[in-house]
Amino acid sequence: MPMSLMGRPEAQQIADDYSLKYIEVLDPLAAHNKDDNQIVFSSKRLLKKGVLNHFPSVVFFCEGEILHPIVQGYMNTGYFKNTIERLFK
Amino acid sequence: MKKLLLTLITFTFNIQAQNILSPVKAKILLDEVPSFFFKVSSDGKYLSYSHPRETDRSHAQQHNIVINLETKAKHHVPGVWDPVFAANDQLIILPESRAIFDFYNLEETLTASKYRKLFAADKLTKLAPSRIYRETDLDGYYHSTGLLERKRLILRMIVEKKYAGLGLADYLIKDKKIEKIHQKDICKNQNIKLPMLSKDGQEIGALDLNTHTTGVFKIEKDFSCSKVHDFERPLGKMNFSYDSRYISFHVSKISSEKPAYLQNYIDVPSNIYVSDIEVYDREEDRYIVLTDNLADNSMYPDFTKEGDLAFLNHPHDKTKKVSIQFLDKTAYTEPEEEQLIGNSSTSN
Repeated sequence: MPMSLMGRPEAQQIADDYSLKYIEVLDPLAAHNKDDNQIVFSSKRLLKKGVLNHFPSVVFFCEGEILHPIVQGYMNTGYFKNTIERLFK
Repeated sequence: MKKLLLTLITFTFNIQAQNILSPVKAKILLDEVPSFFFKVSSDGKYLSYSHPRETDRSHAQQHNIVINLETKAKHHVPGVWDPVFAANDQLIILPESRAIFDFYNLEETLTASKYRKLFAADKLTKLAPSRIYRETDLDGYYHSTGLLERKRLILRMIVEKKYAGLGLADYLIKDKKIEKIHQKDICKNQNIKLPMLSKDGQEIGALDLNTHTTGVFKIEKDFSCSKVHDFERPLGKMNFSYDSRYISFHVSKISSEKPAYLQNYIDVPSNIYVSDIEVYDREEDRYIVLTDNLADNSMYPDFTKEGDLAFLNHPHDKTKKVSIQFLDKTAYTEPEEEQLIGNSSTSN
């Protein structure tokens, strides 16, 4: 539903606020509609964790390590901020 | 010889891209791709979904569509996303925004849509369907509905609230009028999201954020929730059958991992994944696999009252159309032996 998509700028803003790198990855089925600078999902590891069961899903990671269970669906800014502060403090 | 073998495998692969393990009862080819999920009415007569307006690639501007499967008529209905049939298809709930849910009479809405096409633009306002209720206090997303009572028609709707937790409201429907009975915060004793209400309004399927697995939660009289089943894996878009015995869902997998005989000879690109439809039979405690795709994504299963199971099918091959397909209930009530799986065999 669109709130999930509308959450994209919120997620981007929070990543900027914490100086974290923010990467959007596109559902392979939507790849025909992609912009030149968009990355298409291709991770078996993330797929096995259920990341494609719901759009969007959010992955917190650092140096190749997944730091938190996959978050499915829209999350409010408070949840993002709390999670980031807990993971990256 | 090696070249010949590869050619044959490719051919086989294409032929079996969509592998449905039960006969398809009906297949409706769509001219457009639904943006999010789709819903089927309880009688199986209508489909609803959202679709972006023309060139809007941000998907911010959607319009809602209902298709009459008997006449093949396509109706543009009000609202911008997530059209949901409710109350034995008397109603269709069309969110106007995150905080506004508009309740319309389904038949009147479709009639208005039909006549809007025939008249000039200046007559549109006169032919707009009349909204019968506007909900402005239940601020949230992912709404789903159930019927608490059928004698006195009591509709239950739940949402995921914007800031945290789940919200519930019960409505009495009488003489084409809607009266709100009460609104509650529910499941405050649980840490869950992505709720899907059972058709009788008594249970919720949801993602448990403590275990990161999907579960079934019973709504207690005090509006707390008790976990009654854990699927031990995260599932996509759960849907309860009308008698609550069956629960359908989709799961994503890697197609290259599925047929062992292919794995040994070819390397399927890693970006090829598939989604399959499964049903969990709560009475028999067994899982039934309904699709076994190699290059298709079957998603968003939805039961009709008769027990047919509709789902959306996205072929990976973009030259093929997206479709809604219906399986007869015997697909999951009378499965073949090879369709039965244990929980662990498909865990992600």
